[in-house]
Amino acid sequence: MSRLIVPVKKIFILLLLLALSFSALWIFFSAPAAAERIGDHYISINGSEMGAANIVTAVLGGFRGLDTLGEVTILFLSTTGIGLILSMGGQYFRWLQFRPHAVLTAAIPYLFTAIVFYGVYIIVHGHLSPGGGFQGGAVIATGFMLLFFTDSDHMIKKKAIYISESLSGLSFVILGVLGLVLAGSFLMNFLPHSVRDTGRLLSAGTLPLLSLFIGIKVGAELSGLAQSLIGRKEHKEVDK
Amino acid sequence: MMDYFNSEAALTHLMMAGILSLVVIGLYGILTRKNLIKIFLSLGVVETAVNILIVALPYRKGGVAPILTGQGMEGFLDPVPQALVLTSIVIGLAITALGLVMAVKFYQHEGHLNIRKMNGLKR
Repeated sequence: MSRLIVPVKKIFILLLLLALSFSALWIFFSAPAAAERIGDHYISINGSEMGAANIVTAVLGGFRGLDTLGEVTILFLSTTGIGLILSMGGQYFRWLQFRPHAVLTAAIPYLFTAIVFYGVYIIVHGHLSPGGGFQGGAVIATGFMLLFFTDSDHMIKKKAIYISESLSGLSFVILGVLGLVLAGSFLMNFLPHSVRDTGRLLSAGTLPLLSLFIGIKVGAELSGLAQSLIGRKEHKEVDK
Repeated sequence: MMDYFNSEAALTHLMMAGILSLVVIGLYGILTRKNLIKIFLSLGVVETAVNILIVALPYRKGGVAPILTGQGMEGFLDPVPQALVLTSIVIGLAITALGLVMAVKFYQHEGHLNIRKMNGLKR
């Protein structure tokens, strides 16, 4: 008797998943469109309350700023947890054993400045064009990650990362509380944000400041993440 | 036939097919793979599918990104799902990184990543 080659179990799992996700998707896509959406409301009050050209950033930093605060907290918890787990047991060494390519090594001193400036540009223009704190912070962290790849002795001080991310997070909360005190609700836009200025660099009240703080925080956290994942150069031999 | 390809229904069906295949690939990987790292990568694939779903759901034909460019607000799409997906991407990155670091630590202690052999609590 020959062994059954057809993986019945896997095919069964596959068919079950197909049916399940298809029915779920069908329900999602066949749902009737709501007559009035919250997004349309945000678009209509954007002019009077935020004055930002990029309404996605207005939603992210202004109307749903509390969600963003929670998200930044999750990111902070994750980086803290990673640092904690990696430093446990004293076996904290360089995982990635490779020599960087000559092209990367030669290009990164010039590229690093350009990448960081591009990230700063994305952060600063977050309320005008696609972009904002998260995207710009991720771009800056990319620059630092490439730097760590090429020169493994090049480390940012842990303290600098902690201080910059704590200060930016604190400033975010302070801006929110100031909105509560001065304008009546948490993260309310209390700086001047007239519609006439929409599209200028200095417009939209607190939004550029908020995306600046988010950018610093995300950039510092992701750089610290990359640094702790790449690890130190020297090996600590594990006692066997 | 060409009417179908130009219609809005074709776009919806295309998005559905893409999201469906991504979800199935990811869930299949989660359920059948034994390597912890592959399971986390499959989780990432499902995450991508969910993000695409959230962005694709409110899309209408001829819609533009909700950014004021002096052309009026004609055809602006819903900005809320886009902002939420931004949140979701960052959280997904954080969770994936934490999981992978845990996998690395587990490998250092046990020397394998096979979830079928992870019965340390039962012994």
